Amino acid sequence: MHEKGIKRLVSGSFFMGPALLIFTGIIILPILMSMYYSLFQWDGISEKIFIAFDNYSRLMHDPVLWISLKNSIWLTLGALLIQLPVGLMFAIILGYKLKGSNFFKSIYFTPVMLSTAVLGILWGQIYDPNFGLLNNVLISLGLEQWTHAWLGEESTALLSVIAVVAWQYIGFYIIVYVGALQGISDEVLEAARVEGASEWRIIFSIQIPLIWPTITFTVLNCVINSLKYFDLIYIMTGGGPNNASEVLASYMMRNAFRLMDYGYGSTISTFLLLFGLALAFIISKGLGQGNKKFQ
Amino acid sequence: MNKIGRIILYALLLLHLVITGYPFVWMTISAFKDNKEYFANPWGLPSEWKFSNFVDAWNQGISGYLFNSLYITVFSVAGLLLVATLIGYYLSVRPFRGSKVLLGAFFLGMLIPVHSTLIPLFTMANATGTYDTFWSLFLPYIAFNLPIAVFLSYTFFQSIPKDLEEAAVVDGCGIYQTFFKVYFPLAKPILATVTILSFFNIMNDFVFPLVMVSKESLKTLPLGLMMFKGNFSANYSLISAALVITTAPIIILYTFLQKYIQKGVVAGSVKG
Repeated sequence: MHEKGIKRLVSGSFFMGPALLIFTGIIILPILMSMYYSLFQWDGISEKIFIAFDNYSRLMHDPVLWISLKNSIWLTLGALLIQLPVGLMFAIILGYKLKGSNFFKSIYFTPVMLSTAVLGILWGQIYDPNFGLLNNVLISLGLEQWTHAWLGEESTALLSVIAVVAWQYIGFYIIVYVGALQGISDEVLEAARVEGASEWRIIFSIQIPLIWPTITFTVLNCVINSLKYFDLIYIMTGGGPNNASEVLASYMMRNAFRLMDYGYGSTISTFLLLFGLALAFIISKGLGQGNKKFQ
Repeated sequence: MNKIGRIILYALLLLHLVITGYPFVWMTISAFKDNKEYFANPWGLPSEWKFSNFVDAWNQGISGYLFNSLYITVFSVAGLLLVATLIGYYLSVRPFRGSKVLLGAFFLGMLIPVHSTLIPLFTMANATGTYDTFWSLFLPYIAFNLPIAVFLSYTFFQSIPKDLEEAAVVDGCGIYQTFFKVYFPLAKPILATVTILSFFNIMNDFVFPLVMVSKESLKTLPLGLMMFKGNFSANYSLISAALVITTAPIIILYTFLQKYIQKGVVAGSVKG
């Protein structure tokens, strides 16, 4: 009943051709090209000049690259340490099914669906040093000395963006964890309560271990997405002031599309890709161990 | 649970509700003020609820950006659904040596940051004359949403009993008819999930328009909003109105479809 010979070739190309062409042409090929470009000095217009690994040694000695890497790592840690624990906490609270839980859940999820441009502009207004909501709140609470030009000062720019990223994505993790926690049967929890286990004990000895695969996945998801984070940095601070909030992706974009240094831009993007893949591999190995331990 | 415990939990829930929701309330209220009042009275309700900011924002470009976004998103999602179910179906009913590897490659695609492809995509677009055309957004949107879409549709087709295909063959259907008449219509639930997921991904994407597009008729909302903000940078209440206009359709959609949207986003959360 299966197609043979030429018919098989035709049907195979009909069904798989479009996806394979698009996937190879738009993702695989550009990645290889990017690696190739990273070996050249090139501004996109004049001839490419082959310089072997010079771009990579420049990368190693580029202070801004290291600042960007450090900031990317801060952004990732910030995401991991705020979004996941807070998300899990609210998922557990919502699990008690207090009145209004569904309403709370819906509102918490709202920012997840909105574009970063909307959120970036909105929060830019909130952080505005003169007219912003945040400084206004602080002043009316008598905390004038806490006011800042949030996005304009080196000490607060990155933190301010990290806060907005967390604000947007906590709702996502709440929904994911709520879904996972619903998979635990009520009988298990009831039995534990009857046995006299405290709520804390139930959370740490039953709920968290049982949803460990989901936690593994969210950690991986969070790291991968934070590492390549770009949008709000570009929209809110542009990487400034004085590189204080520059991250890997924004630094790559600046080199490629503002400074027209395609060779070095490609080097940074190759570094970003390999670093991300390596980290994803290490994390999935590491947390996989955790999975075994709990099973 | 005792009473104090309940009160603490409610307090936490309410605190997070205010933190999440208040910025939107503030944005909406600001949009009804004129700019002078925005600065003079950032907190309170407007002395007079003015609708003119919405009209101005709509006429000064936001309507066009909204239209561009919808049209590019609808075509990209439709293309994605077709391309992804075609290959998902074939890999499921005609597995061959290497088809697992192929699936694995798609799966790995989820780990690829778009930024690693942007420079070559930009040079390719220039070389082929597709820079600043529909294709320079359409094709990347399909490509970057393919991994999750292929994965979901393959898993779905795998779950359909093989008898069904045999029955279709007995009825005289070839592989093409079996797909279009039997399998594709069956795949509605998975089509809905992929639609929801990719709709938000594409609608909200910022980076491809930023790099691939310069003419007004292709600027989608996220980039358009940035342009709008640049043009009217001092007019905060007008900008707030633009934000409300772009947020409202999503919020309305969400109110009606929230169960499906939450489920869809979680199902595809492998992509995040």
